[in-house]
Amino acid sequence: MAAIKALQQWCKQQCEGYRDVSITNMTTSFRDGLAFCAILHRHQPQLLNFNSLSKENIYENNKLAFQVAEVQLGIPALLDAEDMVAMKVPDRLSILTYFLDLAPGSSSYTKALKN
Amino acid sequence: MCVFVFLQSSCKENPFNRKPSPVTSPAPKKPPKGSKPARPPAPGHGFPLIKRKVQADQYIPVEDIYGEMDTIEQQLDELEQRGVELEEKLRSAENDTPEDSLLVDWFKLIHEKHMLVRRESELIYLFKQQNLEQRQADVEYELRCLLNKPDKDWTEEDRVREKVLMQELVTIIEQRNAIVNCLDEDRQREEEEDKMLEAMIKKKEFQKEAEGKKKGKFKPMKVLKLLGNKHESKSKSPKEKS
Repeated sequence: MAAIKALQQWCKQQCEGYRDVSITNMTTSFRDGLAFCAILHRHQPQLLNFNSLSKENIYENNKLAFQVAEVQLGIPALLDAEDMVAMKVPDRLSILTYFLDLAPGSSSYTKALKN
Repeated sequence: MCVFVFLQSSCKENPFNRKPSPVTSPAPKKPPKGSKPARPPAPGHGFPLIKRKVQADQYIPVEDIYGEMDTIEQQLDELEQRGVELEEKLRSAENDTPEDSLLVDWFKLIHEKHMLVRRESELIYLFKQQNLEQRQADVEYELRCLLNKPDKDWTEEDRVREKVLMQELVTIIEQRNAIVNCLDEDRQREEEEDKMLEAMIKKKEFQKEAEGKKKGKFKPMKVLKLLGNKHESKSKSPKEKS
């Protein structure tokens, strides 16, 4: 499926260089929340301390990403941290939509307000 | 510190590329009518000082800004509605392989939403820019009035006021710069995202044509219009498919 592959490639690029983040699909690769934290940190490093995170803390990582995105950037969470823990294979559609929402192309509105 | 003595400047530049007014060395003040080379003492606070008019060519009245933001909110609601319907289709198809064209429609929807949100942020920046410009004109005017006073008439209050006004001017300019920088940064990132989405949509188009199917609801030109309408740097011609 070409479209998904292209998106996956882009996700990989966004997370490049971040420890323990390995994008091999659009589901389980995102489960530990590090990918979300990575893309947030990549474009606005002041938002969170990536180095303090570890992949075992699935709940905390996801919670952090969702909270930061919602409070600082006005991006509503499409996922629940609890669900990410509970589901072995998280929902692909939600993940790709949320990841795209985290892309900087969408979050300027709240930044503009805060500025 | 340099003094701004522009009279009736009208900004011709694009508001989003606005750079702060250039700092010039004190320009000669407009002499009163009938002045001779050997100047007589200034008659108090003499010739009329004109406040710089701030109406740039692209000035958008506040009501229009609010109006457009309302429209955008409506459009976002409509997109939300379409999203709900599309999501249903996508999920029901998920048990088999989800229709790729549905996915691409989904990406297009997301992208449309992002573009609306970007426009909202542009409007906010524009609103702030216009306010800052007005404030700057006010501060400059007050400064000019002050500096128009002959030195010997200056009070301690005046000196303090001058300092305060200068500082305010600096702050305003810094804020305007910050906005310009934000806009630049946002532009760059938006281009990244646009390129990615374009690649995804195009790949899908190429695949479809290669398979001889004509199911695509959108043609390359439409897609380029969708993605390219705000970025002049984008080439408008369909790229050669490898």
